[in-house]
Amino acid sequence: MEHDFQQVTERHGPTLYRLAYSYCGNRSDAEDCVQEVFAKYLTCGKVFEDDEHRLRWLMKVTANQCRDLLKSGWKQKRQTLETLPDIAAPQADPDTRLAVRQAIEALPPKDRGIVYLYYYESYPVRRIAASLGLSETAVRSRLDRARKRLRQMLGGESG
Amino acid sequence: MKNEAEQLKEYFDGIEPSEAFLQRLQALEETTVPQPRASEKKYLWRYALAAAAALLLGIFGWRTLDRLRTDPVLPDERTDRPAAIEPAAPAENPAAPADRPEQTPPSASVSAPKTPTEPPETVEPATTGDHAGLAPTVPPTVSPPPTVQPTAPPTEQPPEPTEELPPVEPVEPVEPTEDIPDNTGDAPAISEEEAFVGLYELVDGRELITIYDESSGESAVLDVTGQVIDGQYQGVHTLFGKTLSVALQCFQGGGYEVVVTVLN
Repeated sequence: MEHDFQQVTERHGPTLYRLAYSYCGNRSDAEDCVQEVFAKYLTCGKVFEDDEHRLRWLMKVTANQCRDLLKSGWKQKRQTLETLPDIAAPQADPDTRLAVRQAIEALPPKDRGIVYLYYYESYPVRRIAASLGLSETAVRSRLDRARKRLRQMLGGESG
Repeated sequence: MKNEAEQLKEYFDGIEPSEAFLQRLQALEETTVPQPRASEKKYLWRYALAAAAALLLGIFGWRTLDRLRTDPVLPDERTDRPAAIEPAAPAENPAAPADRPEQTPPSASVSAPKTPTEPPETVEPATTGDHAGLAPTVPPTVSPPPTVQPTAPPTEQPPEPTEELPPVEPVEPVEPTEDIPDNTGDAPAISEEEAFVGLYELVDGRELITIYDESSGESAVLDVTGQVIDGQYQGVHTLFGKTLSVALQCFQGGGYEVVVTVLN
């Protein structure tokens, strides 16, 4: 591997984890997906042009991995057990955090990843489209739809 | 109240992978064996091997087909049905067993059919050879010595299995086998009156052995169609008032030998 694997995990691990979490909605599935993605990264032997190329590939594989997980019959029949308060942000206001979480979980899984990349990673639409393997029009459409729903549920102002 | 963007950012800020998970990720490198990408050489070798195998198969297949096209008779079958009947050229000096020409290999004995009266142009007496001795069963005075057999080189008359043979050909002299003792210098076992010459030929699909009584000039034809097994025939016939043992031996690649022995 031309790039140190330790550096790759340290640099891109949290980003991929959040992206997977936004798709899956729980920690265990997110960790499974990210671990699977890095295992593929180790075994694929792909040569990347630069770090941006590597991150784009990792994000696309993560999105596909999460979609496959969500499409699996086992996942669809399983009833989520993570109804307990999320410990991801213990310092945040529990009420606010629960509301945000409920609003995000109300979004379709595909839209959650776009929301995460747009609002948290501040990726432009073009980069989101390239990272997730979607067209820019689809990204804009989904982002607009998610934004309206979040605004409605969180009662925020303009986004 | 914060807008949804700030709330989302705070929400995602709280989503952090645990330290244990990150350590587990970093340990993946030790447990996962990277698979090297298949190099182009790998496929090159495969294609090269496949091409070589196909080439060899094509060459051998073409040779086999070409051989069958030119010579449909398999080599093993030739021993049963000699391609061309070898003429038995009478020796100029048949009474001299020691002077018989050097014997040629059976494969080289195939020659163009000759008439019985045709002189053995290619026969050259030889003073040396493993089979210099005449077989005891062969009348030395009449039949040519075994060395009379095919003297013509193989290149002069290649065997042609399908070619029809002339009706009458001189009988090839009895060729002594390796286990036959050399009787050079010994007295002939059969008198001149009992000299017979055999000619084996294929006429219209029939296998005929013509026996010539050289002392009287008479001849008799034996139809041995279907009785020649594996290029060999052995029979006892009453001809010319005598009981004769007729033995036929066909050689691989052409040529034959008829041995006529007087039993009484």
